[in-house]
Amino acid sequence: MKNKILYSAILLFVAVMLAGCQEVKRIDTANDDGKQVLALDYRDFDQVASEMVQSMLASGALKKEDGSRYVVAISEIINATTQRFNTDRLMAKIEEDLMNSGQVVITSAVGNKIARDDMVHDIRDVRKSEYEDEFKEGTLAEEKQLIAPGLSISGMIFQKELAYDKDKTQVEYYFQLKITELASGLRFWQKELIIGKRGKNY
Amino acid sequence: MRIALYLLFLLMAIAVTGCKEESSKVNLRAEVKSDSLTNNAVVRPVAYAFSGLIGEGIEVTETITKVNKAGLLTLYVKGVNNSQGTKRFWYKVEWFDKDGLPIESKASVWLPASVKGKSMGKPVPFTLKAVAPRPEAVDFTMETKKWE
Repeated sequence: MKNKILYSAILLFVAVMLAGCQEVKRIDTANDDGKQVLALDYRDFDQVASEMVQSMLASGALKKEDGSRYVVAISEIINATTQRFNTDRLMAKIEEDLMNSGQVVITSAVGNKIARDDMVHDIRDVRKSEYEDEFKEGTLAEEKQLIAPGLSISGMIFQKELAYDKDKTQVEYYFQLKITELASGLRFWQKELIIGKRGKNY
Repeated sequence: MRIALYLLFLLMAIAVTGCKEESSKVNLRAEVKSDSLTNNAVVRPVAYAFSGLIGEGIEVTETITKVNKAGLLTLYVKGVNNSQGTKRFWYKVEWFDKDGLPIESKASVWLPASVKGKSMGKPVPFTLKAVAPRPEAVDFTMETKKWE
């Protein structure tokens, strides 16, 4: 009888402990003191976006002499890492800050698949189609209204893995971005950032 | 008599430490900056009697703000690393408009910094640079935290 009570108590204790382990904690993304991981996490993208934006703004490459704003297209940003992520995780932050700086406008008419808004073209396809009459006159986008971009941002993210010692791997992530003036083809700005991590093998 | 002298020494130490002015806009946390008599956990209990044990770390010597060609406020934080070893820490700059309201920006995140330790007995100088995300920024604060 005594043993049965003891076993029940132990079982209850283990159950309570296990229930406690399943607790989900929300990450404080503004002040995350959580441990680093070998893969790229949001803190890495935050850091890279911040340093890239500050470098772009500090360079003066985005400032037009006449005070007007450049129209910027987001070209291909290639993810050549072994991790599957959308490069918009980086570019969305950069685009937001660039637009808020008041120096540039970003176009959705042209650019990579994520940056482009297909509706810009879909609505033009309505012109002279059988659906044209469905729209109120004068509300459809007219021809020659799109603004061509003056600058383009392109880049690449790739990684290199090295054996650091018997049970540790060194992973180097390279973030490269460049801004090209489309009329002249000249490169106005470029930057490479490296995030390196060492940790136990995957 | 000895106790009275001790107390006097203690009060003087507090007064001297209190007079040391630091930039209120750049907050170097205890684990980042040079230890003072009052913020070192090891010596705190007997801090004033063992002032020789004070630690060394990052010290901010000057903050400079300039408006760059694009009309954006640029901050330069100059300082030195007083310790023998490399000092790594995180810092975050937040920007404020003329009304003192914070300016939201994706660039205001924790960024890493690393400064080499003393070279030939002399503290190594460093400069951190930050660019405001918008022309409305007229003021800033900088926070630091320990490298984990």
